[in-house]
Amino acid sequence: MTLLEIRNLKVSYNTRRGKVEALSGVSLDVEQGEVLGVVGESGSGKSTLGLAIMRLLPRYSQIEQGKIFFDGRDILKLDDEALREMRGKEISIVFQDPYSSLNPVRKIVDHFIELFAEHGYAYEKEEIEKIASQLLEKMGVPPEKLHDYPHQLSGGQRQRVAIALGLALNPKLLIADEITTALDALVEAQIVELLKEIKKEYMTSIMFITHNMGLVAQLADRIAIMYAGKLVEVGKTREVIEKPLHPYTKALLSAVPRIGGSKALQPIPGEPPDMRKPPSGCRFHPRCPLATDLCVREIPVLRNIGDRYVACHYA
Amino acid sequence: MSHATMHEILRVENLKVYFPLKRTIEDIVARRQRFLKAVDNVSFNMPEGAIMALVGESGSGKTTIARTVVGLVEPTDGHVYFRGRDIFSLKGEEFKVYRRKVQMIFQDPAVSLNPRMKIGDQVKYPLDVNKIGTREERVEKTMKVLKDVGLSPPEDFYNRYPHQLSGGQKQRVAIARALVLEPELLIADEPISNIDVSARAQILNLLQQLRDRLHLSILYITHDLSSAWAISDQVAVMYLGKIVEMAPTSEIFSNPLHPYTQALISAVPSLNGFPLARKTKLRGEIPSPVNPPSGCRLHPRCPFAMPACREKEPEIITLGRDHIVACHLYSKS
Amino acid sequence: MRKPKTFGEWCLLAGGILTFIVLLFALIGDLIAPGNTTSSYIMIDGKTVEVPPLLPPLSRLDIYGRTVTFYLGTDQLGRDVFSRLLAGARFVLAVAFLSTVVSTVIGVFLGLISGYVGGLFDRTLSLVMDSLYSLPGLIVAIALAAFLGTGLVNMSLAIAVAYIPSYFRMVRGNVLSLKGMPFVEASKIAGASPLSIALRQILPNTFPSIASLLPITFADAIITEAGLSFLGLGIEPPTPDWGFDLNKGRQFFLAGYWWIGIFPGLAIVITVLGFLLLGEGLNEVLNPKRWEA
Repeated sequence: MTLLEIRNLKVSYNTRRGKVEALSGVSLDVEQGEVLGVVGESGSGKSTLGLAIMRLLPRYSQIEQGKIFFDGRDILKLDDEALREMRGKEISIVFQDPYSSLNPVRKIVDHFIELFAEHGYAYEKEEIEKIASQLLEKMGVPPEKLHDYPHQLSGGQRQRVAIALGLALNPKLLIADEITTALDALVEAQIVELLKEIKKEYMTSIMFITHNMGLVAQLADRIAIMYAGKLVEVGKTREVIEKPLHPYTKALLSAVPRIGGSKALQPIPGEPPDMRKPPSGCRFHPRCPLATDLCVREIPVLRNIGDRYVACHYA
Repeated sequence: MSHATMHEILRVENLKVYFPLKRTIEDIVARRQRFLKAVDNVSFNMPEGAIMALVGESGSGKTTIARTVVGLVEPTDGHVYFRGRDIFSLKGEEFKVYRRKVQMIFQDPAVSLNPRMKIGDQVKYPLDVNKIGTREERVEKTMKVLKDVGLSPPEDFYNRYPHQLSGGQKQRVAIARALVLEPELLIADEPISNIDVSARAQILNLLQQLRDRLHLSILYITHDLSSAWAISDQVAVMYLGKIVEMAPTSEIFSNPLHPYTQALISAVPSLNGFPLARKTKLRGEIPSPVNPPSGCRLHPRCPFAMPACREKEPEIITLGRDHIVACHLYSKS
Repeated sequence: MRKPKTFGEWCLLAGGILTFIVLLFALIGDLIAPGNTTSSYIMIDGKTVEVPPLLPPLSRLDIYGRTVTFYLGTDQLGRDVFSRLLAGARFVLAVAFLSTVVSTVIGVFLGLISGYVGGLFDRTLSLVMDSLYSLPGLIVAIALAAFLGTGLVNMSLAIAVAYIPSYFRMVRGNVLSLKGMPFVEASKIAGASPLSIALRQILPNTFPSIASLLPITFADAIITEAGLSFLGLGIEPPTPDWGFDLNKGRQFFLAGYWWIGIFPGLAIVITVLGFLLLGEGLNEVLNPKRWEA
């Protein structure tokens, strides 16, 4: 069953130097119980996507057009109160920075108490403590840490607490925005294992936003590759990695060093586009080895090729 | 391990860098001074024209070693020899000469460049400071080095400001600035961590080209094993201030001996979903370097820990050619 | 130039216009209002004519076939209020300018050295500056003005001392955070001397904060100058000056002669407002809080 339906989403930011279109017509689905990896570099719009779904976009931005249906409801039409109910309870988000996800002057247990209170749960403090304690243990954090302040936990532990808070009310969708980027390699691997277990046990859908192809290869059922505010390829993880169809996907895979693979790295020529004035037609054309006049003139549409979706004139 | 060869560019011997910690009331009462042992008795040598990777997570001491070699930090004990000369015994003019031979690039290109200075002026600055050549010669050299790092046309880039460049371009400017004094050793401290994935290959390729064309030796500090695999000739793995394993790159990846190295390699998320080394998992997280565990520092987390590991620090053992490891699993007894 | 979008940009526009007008009037004052600013008489065709005091605004004097208009009236000594206003502008702005320049140069210089060198020197100097900063500017200026005496230069110096700590603190703060930046370390690794690093690498990065403080200091200096001359310090009569005239005008206000004090007072308000708006606008433009996604 389709849990999240995004149709033609356009989001722009007002900056001093002009309007920047961060998302230019993105259409995407997330099924119930699946892990969708959203892969892109800076400027791809991947983080904007997560924020848009949570309706947490900053004041100087606007959703120009598009629809987001979550569990059948149009969440772009929800009022503030309905949104507050939705956040944390139906959809949760965990961010990159393990230092700022938690309030430094409140104990860990207080975070849980506040969470439950804000969503109208009339539990006793002891009950919440018990739930939180079990949750922390599942996440691999010693339950004693409940009574500590965030600065007394390590970065990895803080992220686990953030994930625990995100899952506490059993949301249907968890958005993880670069949650391991700021963590050490071994901790990153531990968090990935944790997410795999969460997926198995809670059947939560996870939207895993990252720039790291290797991570999505471990976790995701399907991946969506983004470039310059647009989706360029969507498909089953294994298939996309073994047989990428879009030139950007191919280039991304060859540009990253892999232990045991070729040592000849192929960088992607050129520079990421200026999102105030993105290239005409296909936004990847200035850097694409297959680019032709058609690519400069016409924007490629995300087409269906078997199980795959590709936005390229020559795929 | 080392026998000094004529072609050895850097030799670090028993290096200790301890940072005094702020004294608490207890410290004052007990009349003691505690230290953060960032680098604790590290020795290695680096052959000329090689790219050597120093790999580790946070608290490993790799950045401190980099900053010591480049002269920003003074060692508590031990020596750093550059072409056979103890750099911390050099004074005044001699030290200045050394400085020119060893340069560094930093992790975050956004703060590695002066936001209010033109690119060209920044790259030229080391030449100004050392009064090398005439003004025209300095500009010419700057143009050349900008071209060498791929920022063409150099006249165009000379007059731009950092905020007009992408992350990858900024890092290339930083490399140009480091190259303008024609150094012999380049310390690269996590040069690709803060750069877009697609641009990382550019920087890695550039570093290799510089090694090939200019016979530049590069000490490559990183936490990313994949890039270490791609460009380095030799890898040293560090944990909590000590080197736990060191070997030529191909050797260390095909035959990792130390449990920590194995854990690091098996933690690399591979594209096909299978681990790249015998799946070794460590318990818990890195302890604080302020209070490192006794004996072998990995023992609280190591799945192979034996009683000896808690009691005694492992010795450095040489196995095969140039493969050293510090682990009780491999000691003679 | 496009229409201002934010509060800051409106401030910049409004402040720019106001300050421009004030500066313009100050500069061309002599040309448009050559009346008697310091003397009680005017010269018409070589003949000395006594000007009646306390004439209301728009009064006219018909003498020897000529008509002389006193647009803003005359004060208690028969001096043309309008001309005196514009001449006062020149004096006040000159004092504010000189004191701003002096305090900026000294404050920035000391802040740069103190921040970069650190250690005991820094701690001592910071202590001194913090103590000075804790005193109200006007008190400091009064104390120094009483000590230094009267005149444009002395007044400017007295006022300047009050603002040195602001620049010192700001630049020192900037320097402390810039000191640890990799581009400064790269300069050290390249072999640059501390002087070179301080001047070529660090100092230019303090310019935006300095620039946004300048108009505010300027506005503040105008008020302090007005305060000093209101109290009769630092000013030698008959030098035209807003604060001084405001004080004199105060005494005549109750008797019904409102124009003597109101106009200098308004001039102070408008000028200070103009510079403050300019400062607010500049601050937003130079230190942008909005960032690109």
